[in-house]
Amino acid sequence: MSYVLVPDKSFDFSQDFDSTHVSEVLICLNDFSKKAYFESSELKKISSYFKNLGLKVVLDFDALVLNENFGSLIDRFKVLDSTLFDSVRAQDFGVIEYLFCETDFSLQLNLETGHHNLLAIESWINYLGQRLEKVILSYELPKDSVSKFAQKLKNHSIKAEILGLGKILLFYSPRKLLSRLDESFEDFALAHSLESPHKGFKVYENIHGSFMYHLKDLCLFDFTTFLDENFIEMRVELSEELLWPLKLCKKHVQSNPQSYTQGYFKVNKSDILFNKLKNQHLLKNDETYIGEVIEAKKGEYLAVLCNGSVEAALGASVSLISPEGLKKDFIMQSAQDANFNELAHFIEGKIVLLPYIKKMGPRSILSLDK
Amino acid sequence: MANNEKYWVPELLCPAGSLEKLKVAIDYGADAVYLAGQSFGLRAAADNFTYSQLAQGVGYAHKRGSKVYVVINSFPFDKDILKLEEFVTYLEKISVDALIVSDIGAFQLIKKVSHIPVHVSTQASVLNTYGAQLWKKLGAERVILGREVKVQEAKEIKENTGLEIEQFVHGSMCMAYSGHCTISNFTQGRDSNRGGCSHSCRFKYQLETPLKTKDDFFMSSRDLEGVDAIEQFISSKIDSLKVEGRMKGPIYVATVARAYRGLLDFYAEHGFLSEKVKLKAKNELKKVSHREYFGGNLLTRADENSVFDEREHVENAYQVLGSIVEVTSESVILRTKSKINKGMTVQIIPFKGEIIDYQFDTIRSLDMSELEHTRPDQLLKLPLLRGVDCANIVRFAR
Repeated sequence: MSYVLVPDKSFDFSQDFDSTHVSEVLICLNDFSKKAYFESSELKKISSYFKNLGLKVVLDFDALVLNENFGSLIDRFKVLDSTLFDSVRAQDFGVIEYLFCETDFSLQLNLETGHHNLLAIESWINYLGQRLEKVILSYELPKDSVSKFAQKLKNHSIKAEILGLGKILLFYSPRKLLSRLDESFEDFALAHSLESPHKGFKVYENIHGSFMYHLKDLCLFDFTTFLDENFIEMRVELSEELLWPLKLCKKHVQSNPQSYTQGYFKVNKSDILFNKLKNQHLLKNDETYIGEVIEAKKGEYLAVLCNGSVEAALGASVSLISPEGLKKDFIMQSAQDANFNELAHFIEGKIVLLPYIKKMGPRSILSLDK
Repeated sequence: MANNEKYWVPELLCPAGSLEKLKVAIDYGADAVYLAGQSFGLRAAADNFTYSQLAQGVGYAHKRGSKVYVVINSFPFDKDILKLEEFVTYLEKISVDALIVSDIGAFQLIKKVSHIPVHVSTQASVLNTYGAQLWKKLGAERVILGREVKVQEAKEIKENTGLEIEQFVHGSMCMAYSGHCTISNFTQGRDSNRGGCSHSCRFKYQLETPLKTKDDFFMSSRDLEGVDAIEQFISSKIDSLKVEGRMKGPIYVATVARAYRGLLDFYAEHGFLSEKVKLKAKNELKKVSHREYFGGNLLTRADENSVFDEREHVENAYQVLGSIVEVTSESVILRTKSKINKGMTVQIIPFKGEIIDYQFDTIRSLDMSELEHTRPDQLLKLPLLRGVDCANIVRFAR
């Protein structure tokens, strides 16, 4: 198994570091990285430390960049000693395009936002060609997709990586949402929802804005063999609690299982609840939908607004379905317009009055039986 | 530019969450509407459009010189994208004017199977010239910039790329960069980027540090109102001004479309906007439910005052009574959504011109029976009123 490590501010650069199975180190500088762990002036120290261990050093440039700031940020990027890093990792399409067109760096694409279909992955392979060194896959992907995408990348000699141990980013805003409160809320707070059971979101603020992370961190250690077999590198984000070597990380996870989740890696059914967002009884069928009941006058009439495109005439077999799902089939034997004149057929866009039917209230839909 | 317009103004693009709202948006002045089919949009709870309704909507719009843009702006998984080609083929057949797309895979598929112009969704968070340039190289005709982008920046992006540029002018704002929020995904099991956003950002949270705790709606943004930016939009040649809100009701669509239509028409005629005209539009916009307005990032960057630190409420909004559903040779038929009592005054919002006040000295049902009051979902007959058309929205006066 190959690991990509992300050291944070707490990393001890005086320690003897065990680099076994570590392929890369991702450096998160304030100016360029959402994580903003280090000053640019520290790059040489950090890079030298890891390069002396024979590790590849990657510069994280995953912040989103507004046009107004783009030029000055690129100026700061240009003054970095480019021998101190081997590749650049980006997420903003503008940064990707800049690096692709204006530099010679090998590119790593952070595709953790979206890119949930193979066509999206192929699009980047086609666009960046040989310059594309690695793709960081979304941690919303289930493992069957991860496997498929990684295989496609491998066929093009492009590496794949996924977050294996670290924080799940839920929210990224350019606005400063903590420091506006007062000096106690400068760069970190825990957020407890007062309207749902979710307590303990980690919220950070830095020069790029505000970031909220999941209550639990992602841990895919149970899938190490799977990832290894599919040539997918695992990113481990180190912290005060998560120390390298791997056995220390595993020990922490084993001691705190409640702090970790496998997210959507086994299966992603995050669209399964969508059907419940709408009343399924009131879904309109193009082939049959005539209109909607807009008034039910007890004992007298049902007023239907004919806003469908299906025409109906007297003698037609039709049905009404109420919002509660009750269904009434009947033959249309009489109909009147809004002035109570008899009608032979319905007119699109107009009101039609039908004989009253119990329990068929407003929002019930009238359909042609076919 | 229409013959009676002396000065160029941008397109006014309004939301159409349903066929009814499409008609409202167009009748109240939208140059174009955006809407979704039953899949691929970001509002799974909206009515959205069936195939037949899409054709009806396009027909209605084109007959009136308006355009229809269909959103395909979810982040689809492989199983979702299987149905995309059939959908796009149908959309080309019924002559939709453009597709709004965020996912690069969906984008490439659409370019392969159709000739429909593609606009890059705000969901793709295009924030800078290089980002826009990339999409142009892939074949995009227009980019809808992230809501974090100032008009001045949009101008530069347009000048540097030659792309059509669209910006939001009005409506709710995500606090997060669009497409960069997955709170619903990981807390509610609903993919916000496939239409399942549960608006957790509008919740109240207790923020805790070692020193202090504070209750706050810290992720809830105030709503965008771009009246003061209109002249800069125009001088910057921003092509399209977009109104947010496919989930909102017809009264919102009508009020907002009408207000911005009024501003753009005034500018087209006079070449400037007077303070009086702007104030009138602002006052109208305050009559729909909203979270205290601010200027977004259009002229200055959203700051600490951009947080709407309150629970959402509608007390300040004018409530909708209903809409005119038919105008016959004898009467106007009003469909009520709320209760009304005899003697109350309502306001009928015409497509153009001044608001029409109407007092219910008598209330008559469809069969002309006299009523003391009504219930919701009732049809009332009003006398023929000059300036009142089918689909006019009616609200309570205050």
